[in-house]
Amino acid sequence: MDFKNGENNEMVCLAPPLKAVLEIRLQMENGVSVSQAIRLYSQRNLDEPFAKGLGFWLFSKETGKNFNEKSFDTFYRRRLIDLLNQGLKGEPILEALCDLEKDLIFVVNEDMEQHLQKLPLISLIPLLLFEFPAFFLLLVGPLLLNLLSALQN
Amino acid sequence: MADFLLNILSEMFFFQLLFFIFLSRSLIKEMFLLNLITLNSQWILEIFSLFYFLFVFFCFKTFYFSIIFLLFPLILLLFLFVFLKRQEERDLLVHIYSLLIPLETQMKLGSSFINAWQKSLKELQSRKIQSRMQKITEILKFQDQFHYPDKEIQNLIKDLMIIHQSPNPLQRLKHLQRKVRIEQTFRLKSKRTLLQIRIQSGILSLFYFGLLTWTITAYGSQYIHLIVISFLFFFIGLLWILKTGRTMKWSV
Repeated sequence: MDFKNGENNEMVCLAPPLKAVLEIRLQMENGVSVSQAIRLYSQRNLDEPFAKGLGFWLFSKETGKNFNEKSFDTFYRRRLIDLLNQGLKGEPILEALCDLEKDLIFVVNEDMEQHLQKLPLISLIPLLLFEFPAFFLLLVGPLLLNLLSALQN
Repeated sequence: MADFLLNILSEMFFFQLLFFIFLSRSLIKEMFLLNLITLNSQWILEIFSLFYFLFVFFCFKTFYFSIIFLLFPLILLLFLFVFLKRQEERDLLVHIYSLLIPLETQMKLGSSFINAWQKSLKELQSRKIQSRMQKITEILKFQDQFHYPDKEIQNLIKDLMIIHQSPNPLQRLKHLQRKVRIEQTFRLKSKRTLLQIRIQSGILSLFYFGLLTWTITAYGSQYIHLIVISFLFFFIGLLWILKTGRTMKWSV
């Protein structure tokens, strides 16, 4: 199962690992256990592939089933999973979660900046392939056809 | 056969026009009934769309043009409807976020969570938002099980309920504020990214429809095939541009 790609991995939504860290941290600060915090996050965001993946992961941990952790295929997602794994074993992870949140905020900002820089280039492709021909057809098309028919006559 | 059908449809132009007027009026009325627009805005939109349809009726009496020019305001109205519906939920969410700061102040002054919430509500300017907030207050006060159509608002209410029921509400409110602040910052940033593309598409569309109107008034239906091909090109390009903004993926 691929939990990286999906509708909610798009930039119009908050980056899934950052959202997960923010929500799990909030629940833990409210005194909820790690497993309960993951469960709450997963239940609240059932339409998001990453949240669903975390729910599956927790379920397989609790029932002893196999789960391919490689489906969390980015460095920060794997780091979050490792951290949560430690939390499920009973180790204190709140401080490490706060550090991960700081790192994620920095990385997400960088990611956004990079995409912003690429955006003018990406939007140039439909502009050149479709918009300019559409304008060209309206502006010059009738004139060219007039000219051609005049030449034929 | 095709010519025959087109002739019949051209003959039916007046009925088409009536049908489109009826559709646009129903859409505008629905927006008013759902409280998305005020009564004044409803009148302005109705008068504007009526004038537009009359303009189309007197200027372009052919089937092809009528379809392009009659569909255009309907599509715009549909977009407006969807946009306003979404905006309404966004507005409520932003207002709940903005309440968190006065809520904290009131709680620091010694009020309980619900009292502080009700005092903060009085600071809201819009009556419409106030009445919607009253419903949320009822949920916070009396209901454990509830369903709200917007997922984000539902989750936020759940967080507020946890704060309401907790023995240390002020500390929990601060945690929620911190989370909301980070989410809002990123939401604003991604909005800014999309805005650039939307402005670009808007300006392009404005120029294109100006040029389209000029071509139609100058040449009539002489180059109709050229116009249809150009319109298709423009439409596909516009969809592609709008999609590039939405399909950018996170690499984290």
